[in-house]
Amino acid sequence: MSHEEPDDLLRALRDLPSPDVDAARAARVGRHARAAFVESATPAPILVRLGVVTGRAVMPVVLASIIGVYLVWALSAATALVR
Amino acid sequence: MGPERPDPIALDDRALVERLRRGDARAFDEVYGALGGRIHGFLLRLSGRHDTAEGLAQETWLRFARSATTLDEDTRLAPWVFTIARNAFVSHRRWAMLDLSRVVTLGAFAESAPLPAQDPESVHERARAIALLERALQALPVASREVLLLVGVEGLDQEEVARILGVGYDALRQRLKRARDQLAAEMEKLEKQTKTAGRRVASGGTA
Repeated sequence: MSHEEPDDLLRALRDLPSPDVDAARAARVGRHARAAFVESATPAPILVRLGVVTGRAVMPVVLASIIGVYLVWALSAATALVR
Repeated sequence: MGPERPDPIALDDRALVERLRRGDARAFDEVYGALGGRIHGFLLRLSGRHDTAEGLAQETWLRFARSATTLDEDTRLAPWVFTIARNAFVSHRRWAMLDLSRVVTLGAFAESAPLPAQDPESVHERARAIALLERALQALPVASREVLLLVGVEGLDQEEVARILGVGYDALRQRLKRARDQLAAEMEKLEKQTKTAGRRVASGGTA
């Protein structure tokens, strides 16, 4: 085998048998993944989806408001100091 | 070692992807049935450890499961799953490098495929050739091993392998050539070692 051309080497690799895989473990991996797939494919209830959408919209508004309030306070504090 | 592998992965990608996007669990079963063993074998040969390969296989399939309903219509399934598996291994390896105790135990898979001494009367030549090839593979750097596993063992298209590895086609060709040369050199080295060991056993037996 050591005198094979590179192409023969690739062919030998192709002919390697599959390593032994514990069937029970493989089945367990498959079951977990299948459950995850089913879960991700199942549409969430309307209230949950509404909550997610609202959360996505509300969070930036809340953050922007906090930053705005802080900036107003910082500006007024700086102005008061200058006076 | 298990039975001979079937022919290269033949999945009707477009139809399967369409069913996966609709959330058809039987489509998921088909993909897992076609690729589950191959992904596990790929990860086992890449990581060199059964426990690591099992954990990475689980991670791979969970990631695939969570993204399967949002796949692009033209997704090629086998390259996509191999990409996830390879990325999971790369990510694992970064962490493993920080943990010396794991690094020390790398290569356990290669050791589990012991190279029989050359004795034509008692050892089947094919089993010996397979063990030699497995050990040579395990001795290669990861970058070389992964390209040989994807192109050679898994029989994936070279352009797809280039995409999986995130390199250009020309770079892939160069990496493949280098890996083939390294593998040939490693096999020659191992063969010489085996012959020397065989001679030592023979001379010890007759002395």
